[in-house]
Amino acid sequence: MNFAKIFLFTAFAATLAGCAHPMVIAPDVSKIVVVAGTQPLKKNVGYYIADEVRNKEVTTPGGGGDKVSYHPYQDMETAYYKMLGNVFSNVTVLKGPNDAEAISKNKINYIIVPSITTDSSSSGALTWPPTDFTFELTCDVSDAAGKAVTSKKVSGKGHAEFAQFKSDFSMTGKLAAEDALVKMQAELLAAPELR
Amino acid sequence: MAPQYSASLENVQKLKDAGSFTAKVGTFESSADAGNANPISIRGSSMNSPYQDSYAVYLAESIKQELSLAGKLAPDAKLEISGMLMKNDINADIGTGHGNIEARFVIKKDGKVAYDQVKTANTEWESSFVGAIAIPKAQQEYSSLVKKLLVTLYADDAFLKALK
Repeated sequence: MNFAKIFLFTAFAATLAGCAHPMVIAPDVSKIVVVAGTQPLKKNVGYYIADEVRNKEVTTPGGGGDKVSYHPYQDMETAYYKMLGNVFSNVTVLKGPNDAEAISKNKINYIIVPSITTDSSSSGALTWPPTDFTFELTCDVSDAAGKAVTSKKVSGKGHAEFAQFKSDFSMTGKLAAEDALVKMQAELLAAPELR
Repeated sequence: MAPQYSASLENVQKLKDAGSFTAKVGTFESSADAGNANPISIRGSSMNSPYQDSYAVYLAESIKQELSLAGKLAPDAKLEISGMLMKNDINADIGTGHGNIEARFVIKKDGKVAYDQVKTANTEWESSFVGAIAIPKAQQEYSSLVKKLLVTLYADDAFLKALK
């Protein structure tokens, strides 16, 4: 049985079962690197993701009328932590938006709250993995007292054809998340208001 | 293919909190024990490691990633973490999927063994009867299985003490 038939069969079976195909869109952490010639800002940051947001499952379109589901915050978080570590001196995961103990202990200058919007689509009728994926990432930055400092928004895109994603069905989501994080790293490093 | 490891930030924090140390990661061997599958077969679908087709290397890379994010990885460190993967398997049985992993972890300080213990982790998850859902779900669970093994390792006070 060739790949197209396998995909058609599995998509049909999944449709019958009324389920979305699970994906993990965690980008490759090794691709989130310090750009040569850039220096981290001498500031400490903490970021906050509420548990219900971290565990949020999102369902968007795949190919052949199927859907895909994933956890954008959970999947992105390790690479996000690394990206912030490439921009700032120290990164702390906050337990709450006003985690006074952690803010004080880690001498945090800025608090960052990320928000993500995703979408996907496919040009393929026989295969369920999306061929295109968008990953919009916003970082709202405030100072330790909660006063807004800046907000940065980037859009990451991922595209792959069948020959590329047949060994990794989540490929377009991973590429889009990686693209967004690399762009966000550049945005934050270039922001004069964070210096 | 199994997903690449995505570090647990709780594990990273645990390593950060473990005090002032740096470590390097040595070789992780793979034993010939029954239950140490490579590749792993999930309902007849073969799952390889994304790291040199070796799950022992997967384990080594996972520790490296967490040490690196914690700022504790140093190639010239006197302290070396190495080990052996002894059990490693995942299935996607209808109803409940299962993962099982077991590994020996050794810490050497200047060549002398400071820690040598075997750790085990098991995971379970809801597994669909539809292979198209159950197989990718089981593949995704591999990273969680390794994460849980490392949670167990870092929760061992003897391990943390040997790092200092």
